[in-house]
Amino acid sequence: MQKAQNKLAIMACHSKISKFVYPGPGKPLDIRQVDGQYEVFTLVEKTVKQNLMKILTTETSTVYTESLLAGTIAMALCYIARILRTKTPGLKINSRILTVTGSGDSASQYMNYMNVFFTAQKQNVVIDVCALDQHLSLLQQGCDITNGLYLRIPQIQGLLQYLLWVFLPEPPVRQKLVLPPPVKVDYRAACFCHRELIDVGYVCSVCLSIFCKFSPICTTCHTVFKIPGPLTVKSKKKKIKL
Amino acid sequence: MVNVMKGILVKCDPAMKQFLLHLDETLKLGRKFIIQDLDDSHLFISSDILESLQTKIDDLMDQISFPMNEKDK
Amino acid sequence: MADNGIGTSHQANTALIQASNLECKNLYDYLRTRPSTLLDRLYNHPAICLAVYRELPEIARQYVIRILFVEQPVPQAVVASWCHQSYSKEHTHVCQVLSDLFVWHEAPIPGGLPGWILNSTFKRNLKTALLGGGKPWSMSSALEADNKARDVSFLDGYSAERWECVLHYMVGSQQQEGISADAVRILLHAGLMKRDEDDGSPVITRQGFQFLLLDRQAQVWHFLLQYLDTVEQRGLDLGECLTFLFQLSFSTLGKDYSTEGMSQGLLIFLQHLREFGLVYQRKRKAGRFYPTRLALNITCSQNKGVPVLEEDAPKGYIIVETNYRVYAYTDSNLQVALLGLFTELLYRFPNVVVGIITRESVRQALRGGITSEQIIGYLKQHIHSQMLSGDNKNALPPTVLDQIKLWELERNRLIYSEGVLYSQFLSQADFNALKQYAQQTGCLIWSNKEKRTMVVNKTGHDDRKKLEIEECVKIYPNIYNRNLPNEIWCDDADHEHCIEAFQRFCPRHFIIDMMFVKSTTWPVCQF
Repeated sequence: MQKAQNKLAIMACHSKISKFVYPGPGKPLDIRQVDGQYEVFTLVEKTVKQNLMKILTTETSTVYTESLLAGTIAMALCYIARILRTKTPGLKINSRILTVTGSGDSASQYMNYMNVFFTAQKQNVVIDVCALDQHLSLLQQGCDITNGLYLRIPQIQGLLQYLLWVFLPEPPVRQKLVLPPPVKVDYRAACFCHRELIDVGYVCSVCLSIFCKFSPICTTCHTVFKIPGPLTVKSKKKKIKL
Repeated sequence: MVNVMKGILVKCDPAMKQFLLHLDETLKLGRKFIIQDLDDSHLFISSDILESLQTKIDDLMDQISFPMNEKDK
Repeated sequence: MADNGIGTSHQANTALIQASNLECKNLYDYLRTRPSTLLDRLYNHPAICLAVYRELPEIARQYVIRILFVEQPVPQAVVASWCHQSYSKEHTHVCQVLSDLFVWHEAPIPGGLPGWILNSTFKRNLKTALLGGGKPWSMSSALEADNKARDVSFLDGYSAERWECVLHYMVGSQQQEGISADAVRILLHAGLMKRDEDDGSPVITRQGFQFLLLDRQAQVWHFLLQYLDTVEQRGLDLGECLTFLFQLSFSTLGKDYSTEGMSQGLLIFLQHLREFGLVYQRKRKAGRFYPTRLALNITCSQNKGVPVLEEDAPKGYIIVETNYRVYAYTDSNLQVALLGLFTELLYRFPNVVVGIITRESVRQALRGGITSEQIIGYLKQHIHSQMLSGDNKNALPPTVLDQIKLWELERNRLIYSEGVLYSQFLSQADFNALKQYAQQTGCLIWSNKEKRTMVVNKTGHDDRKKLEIEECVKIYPNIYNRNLPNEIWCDDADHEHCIEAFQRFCPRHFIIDMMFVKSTTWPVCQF
């Protein structure tokens, strides 16, 4: 909408799968004009409705676990990488990912999230997060790392307005507009053994993985650590006066 | 009484200005054309000499540049 | 090569002083010159609202989308608070742009503060373009599938062939058949070609060369703007044509659209577009047409060299080496002719052309009116992908680019401006007063306080002359402005008295060629 050269992709995910909603798999729909809407918008609308319906109706299980958000962001990053690879040389593309989610925080996916965020940072992809329900500290960290915007919507009725006001402008324009200031981020890490957020812990000096309790072998890189003994006090050397 | 004269204001770098002064002194264009020397980079000249002046400048530029590639003919 | 029409030396002077360059208006500039009634009509169509929206500056787009769904006027102070303090100048510029285009206008809010409200037609139709509703602009939903459907590559080939016909004609290569008289007329009107004095046949002008080196989208847009200027003379309706053009630019490539319901004028317009390669129709009376790539997104070519993300964009074919050699892997006559404008072609093979960029060839181009920017832009546009896959920053050898720019600067060592020199002021106060006046009216070119000399450009001088004469006539009862506009006459039988009056008056004012025509009855003073 903003520029003719912009491209769009939409994905959806829940606890079992993550899928591309637009551009959908298979051939694009053949649409004819039925009203004054811009044809590309009509195509997007119809495709999204159709694919979302398919996803919602084929989901039959009643077991609810956490949503596979990290995996979906990873798929989105792959898509961006593919577009970058097939573009004409000399062309600069800025990409950003907007995540609209109603899920809660999931410390069990901590590693995946961190991998995804650091990859996005390397690829200069901006990740914005729109949290509908709960406060998501992990995703907030991601926004902070990639220079994106994190917003928790107080009223769901105002969703469109928040989306238009805050998330529509591209990153270069954002500094010209007055937008919600970044909130203080909770940078607590999660320990690798229990996936719980901790303040103080042990760090392996080889692979930098975090543990809440001391363990003689690091589970990630299998380095062996000696049990530290009591600290010995060195006797001071007596200075010999000449 | 104030002196009023019609002509052309020429803005150039000091080196070019010296060249123009040289052309003027040695009457290379047939006559003197500088009405007034304004400052280091500006001159006021008469208007009808413009075309032959441009030709002389082009000649000068041709003289001081050397072709980079000699054709293999 | 291009002849600047050097006839008398005065013409040459003007040519040297005011070289006119190709002016490409963007959508905003074009619409600003149209009357507001036309804009009102245009805003009734969703496609135009979307096109205008896309062309707005970044911040303007944010403002518009924010108040799109708001029914009441929004206070101006609130809108101003949306923009960061340090960018307030941009904010005022953006407000001006939006008012110029009649996208919004001032409206008071209850409480008395000034507010902005979106133009209701614009608002309604932009919402239609975004969300749906309203009428479709072509009756395509009733169209059956075309049994002789054309695919995208055919359309691309067709549009390239037709457009290049026009370009070939401009360059004068006799390869293609000529183009229609209509197209020639548009080229002449646009100033891209002009009638040669000798044989009346059209020859390309300076602006024509610059046009040739633009990228295709920019060429199409510029050409269409010129065409739209002549549209009224042909009896077509400008609003209708503009609307159709924008609707076309938002259509989808490869789909066919129906011609049902289009007025006679629009059908003629469609035939012209068919000739230039913007649409494809199998026959004149076929009930459907296919827009080609040239017609899509015509208005978004304003950002210089924004490449398209399409996978099948035209491939680059030029390689430039650091020894000033140019290798162009092409066999198209047009591309070879364009290269020949600024390089010296050495060899030509079936699939490659070798040329060399020399001082002479570049100077020739510069004399023809092409600027170094355009040459470099053209090379960058068509650069071979292999040169880009290396180091992105220095795709073209910087030595070559710098040298082209230097060759251009070499020609511009002298800058000329026609003007009038005022010197030998009697008092510093006079000098200061006149200098200030000249600065205010914007015609001061150069001044030096110590020497009490200044140069004013010609228009300023002419204005000043007029003012002086008016003042003179007002003050002195016996002085008239008769005959020539730069002469004043004195009515007084006492010549000496007149001369004294002149001399008293003249030191404070500026007279060239003060001439006392003693042979006539009345002394005359010429300014």
